[in-house]
Amino acid sequence: MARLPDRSSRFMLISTFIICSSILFVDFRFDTFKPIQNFYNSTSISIRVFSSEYIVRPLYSSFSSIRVEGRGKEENQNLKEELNKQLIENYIISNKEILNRNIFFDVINLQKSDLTLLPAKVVSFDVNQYRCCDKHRMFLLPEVPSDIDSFKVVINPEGIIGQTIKGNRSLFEVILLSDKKHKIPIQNENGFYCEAGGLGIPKRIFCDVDLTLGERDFELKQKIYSSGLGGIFPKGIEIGSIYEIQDLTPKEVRIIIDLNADPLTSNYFGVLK
Amino acid sequence: MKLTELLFLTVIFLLFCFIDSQINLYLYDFFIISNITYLFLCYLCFRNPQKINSLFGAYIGFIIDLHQNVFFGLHATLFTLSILLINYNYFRLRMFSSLQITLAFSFFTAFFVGFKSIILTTMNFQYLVVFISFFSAFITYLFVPSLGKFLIKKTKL
Repeated sequence: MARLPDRSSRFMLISTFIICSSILFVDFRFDTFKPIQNFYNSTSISIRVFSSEYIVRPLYSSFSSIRVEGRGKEENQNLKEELNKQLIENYIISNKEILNRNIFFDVINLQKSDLTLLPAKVVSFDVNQYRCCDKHRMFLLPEVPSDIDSFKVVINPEGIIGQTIKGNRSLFEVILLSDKKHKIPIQNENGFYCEAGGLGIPKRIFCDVDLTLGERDFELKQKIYSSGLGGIFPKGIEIGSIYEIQDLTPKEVRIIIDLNADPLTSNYFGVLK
Repeated sequence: MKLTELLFLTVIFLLFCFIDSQINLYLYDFFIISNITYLFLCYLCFRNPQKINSLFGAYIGFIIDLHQNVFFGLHATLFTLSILLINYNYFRLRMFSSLQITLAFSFFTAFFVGFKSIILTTMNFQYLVVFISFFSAFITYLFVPSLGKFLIKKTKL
């Protein structure tokens, strides 16, 4: 048996490893420690937002008011944010007709409908995790404190990026379409329907198709739309195009879809309520 | 370990964790993953296995798991496993030259990256990332001992 350094306990080394691996297994399998992580996330984000809004920004603005270029930068930032908000509204207007005929929103026109757009700003988005790993989530802060339920569609100027999963009045989490755990019902113009899941790669979702069930009625670069069958996403919104078709078996193919909306393009998003 | 030392090391590890994530943003396109945090832990454990024990590894691991919002226990398990391996092979490693130690810790890092990728990137696991991590860890570890000495000069670790 290997000799250990002085004052190192074999029991402690092994028992700590077993306890840690058991915790990992339990969390991986049952999400047992999710509440602890959520509490840590919300606390750290709240502290960050509070310190940024009430400590850093006032100090920075008082300092930058001395320098003209600092004021210019701040002005530029404000204009960018306003532009983003305007682009999101334009997206809604340009898709007005599609939303109007959507059975799930049940609206005659946007002005008279209950459909409201709630602008929200990103407070936490782990870009590193988005690029490397399967978990694609972001935390948004609504401009106006408002209760946001789960399963609300989140858009940016380029299209649908995901849906809300949980939150409170001041903060909510968004699961992106490309997250491994996310599913979205899709269709193409030929009447092909499928439930696409996130691939864990930025801007990519996939759909496994059993060719024994019907003919192959899809091709590369074909546009893909939301089918609205899940009751969450509006029907007929263009979400992307077919990027690749992989043969899994002679009777099964995997369609990789490239999404239109990139969550990295703006800091502002809209939540359809 | 004193409370001040524990706090100091916690801050240092969180700082390295932040630096790693910032570096990874730019290097991920080249399949390179920075692992300064892990290599620093290996260095500290090899330098003083009495103070940097498995409990400390678990503590730092859990903090990093919370900070990075990954599965709770992922870093803790891998850190305690690394500490266990270093402790079990302590006297063998002591006989190694600097180059051999660098190679050994680079192997550990490749395993660390591979295991993390299996858990976190289930659908897009890439062997190339694991392979290149070995070389990046080798290069990084050339600087870690001097960085470690500089950082813990004031503590008695």
